[in-house]
Amino acid sequence: MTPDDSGALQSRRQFLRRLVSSGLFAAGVSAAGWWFYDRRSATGTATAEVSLPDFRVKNEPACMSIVHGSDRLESLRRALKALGGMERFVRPGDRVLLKVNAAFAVPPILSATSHPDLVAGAIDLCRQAGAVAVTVADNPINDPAACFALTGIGRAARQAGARVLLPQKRYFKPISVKDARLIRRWPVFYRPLENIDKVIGISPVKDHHRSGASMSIKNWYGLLGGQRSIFHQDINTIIRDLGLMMRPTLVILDGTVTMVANGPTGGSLSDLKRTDTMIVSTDQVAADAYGATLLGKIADDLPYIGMCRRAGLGTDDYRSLNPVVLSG
Amino acid sequence: MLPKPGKFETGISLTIMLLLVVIAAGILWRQADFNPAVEVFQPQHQAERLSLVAADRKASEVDLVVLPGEISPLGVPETFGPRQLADKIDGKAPLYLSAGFEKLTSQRFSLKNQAGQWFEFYAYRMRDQQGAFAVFSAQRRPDARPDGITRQSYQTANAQFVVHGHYYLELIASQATEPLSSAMRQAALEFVKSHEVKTESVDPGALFPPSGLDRGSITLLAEDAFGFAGLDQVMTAIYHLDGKEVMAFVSKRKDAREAEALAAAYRVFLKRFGGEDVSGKKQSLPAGHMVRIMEAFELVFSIGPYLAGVHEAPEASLALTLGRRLAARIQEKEPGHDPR
Repeated sequence: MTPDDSGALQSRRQFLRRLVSSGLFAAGVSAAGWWFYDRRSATGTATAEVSLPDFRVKNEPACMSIVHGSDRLESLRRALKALGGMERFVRPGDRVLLKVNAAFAVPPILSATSHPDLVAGAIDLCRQAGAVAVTVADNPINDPAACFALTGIGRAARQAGARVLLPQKRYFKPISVKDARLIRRWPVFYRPLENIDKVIGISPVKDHHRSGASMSIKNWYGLLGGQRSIFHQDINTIIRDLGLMMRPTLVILDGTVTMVANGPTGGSLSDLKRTDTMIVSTDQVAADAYGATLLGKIADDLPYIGMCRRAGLGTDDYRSLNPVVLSG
Repeated sequence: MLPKPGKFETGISLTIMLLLVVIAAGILWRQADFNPAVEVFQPQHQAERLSLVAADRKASEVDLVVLPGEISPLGVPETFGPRQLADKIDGKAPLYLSAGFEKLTSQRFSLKNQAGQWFEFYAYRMRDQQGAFAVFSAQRRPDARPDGITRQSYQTANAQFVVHGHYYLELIASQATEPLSSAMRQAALEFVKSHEVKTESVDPGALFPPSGLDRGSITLLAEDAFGFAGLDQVMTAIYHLDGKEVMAFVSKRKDAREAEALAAAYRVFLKRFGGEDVSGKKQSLPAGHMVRIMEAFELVFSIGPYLAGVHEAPEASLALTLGRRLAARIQEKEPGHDPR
């Protein structure tokens, strides 16, 4: 062994020693990271994650109808008839979830929530189409029992033969939505979606201080749990995520009376405008794009609509669906 | 001299370096893809929730206002702090938070023997009177009818809106009926009587020239005025000039230097979005700058600590006319400063 060989060996030993100690240190840091990683969702529980199915009717092209008229129920019936009737979307034996907007404990005259007459009418049509069970649900912003009572939705739904499901802590499960940026391991009001074949969203057209509008896609916000108000900081992204989360069978967008100012709560009758329009569509992006016009806007004024289009959730060019337009 | 490392050592070292780069990139990616769920677990947040629950229990012992027998509480008062405000008013919360919201107490009242006739009383406590005026003015309804409860209060068919010192009150009825209207008025008056406040006698419209002014249009924009993040606490007012609507604005800053700097920053902001400085083409422009943007004219100037101007005037001449009058009014009220 030459002195050079001895130096090289020493250096190699040093290198290996350092390599091993670095490796041990890195392994220790990784183990600590793994130890500290919080696997709980925003509910604080470690429930297994679930994902939501696609509730669209298979092999059906997107369709849309727009009916102008002052009578909500009549408009809804005509809008559905123009698309082939509720039976095109709800088959005999189906279990249907009607996701209403019961966000606030306010009276129906404020148009801040789904109108009880419309909810009752939709339940009736689902049952006529052969639905064996209709569930009405929402996770409101205010106290759930007060919301369903004061909006009139609870009573209307029960009288029409639907089951009203109020949120309870155990009804939530964490979900992560594929390609979503914000809905990851986030608690969702999952119980009403269990054993459900079809999902129909019913929402009013409203101004929204943060997003510019609250319509069909924003309505799914009422399925989120946890401290969801944090999402207002990135409102357009969360609405896009909601669109990714829920692919409904149908949306019913009620523009009979539109909240054109001070939304989403409004408060004064002067925040409302009669716009006498009912929109029914299987494409919720197209429905919202048309709904924007009732607020005196275009789809481009609402950034979330473009984001939804780019995410492949539907079209913001509602005319491309050749909507059936009926006047009173 | 150390021997040159062998291929094996170099390979191992490069692999480790590469691994570290991948780990660093992974950490950066995860950080950029922040999951807001963690916010929910902040101890400060949890503590505030608990203290509000305690406050709720205390508040529930006392009604928001004590009213005569025919108006009775429909439930206990609810209390919401800044972090819970969205639990009550959802997407409208940022409007209040940006204006200095501190606490909301709300309670429902019903009329005895009149089924379905109830109203909800919202008492927003803001940091100061300016904050209360900001949320009041930003939501002013077109059919507002002054009701004389305070200097800044009005009613609509089913609601009552009042600024009382640093309180902003909203009373919203389930139906548009006279008995409910009267009950809400009574409740608002009772609140005003039972809550003594320091009322600043400042007229929010004092700096606007009175001719052509729509007094009901005076609004305080608490933040992000005209889409510019640096522009806050801006008072705006609509004028009717030559059959056209033109908006004037004034904002009091800390000192003249800040007003001047903000005017310059706002001008830069306008130009960044396609605005063209046409000041040189307007010979009669006494001070400030005129920017043409999207077929409208924006006049911006400063006078002492005031940033002022005209927003989106349809014609340059209208912007100039109103701008001159506005400058003269500010000089009249706050003498000793020249427009710049």
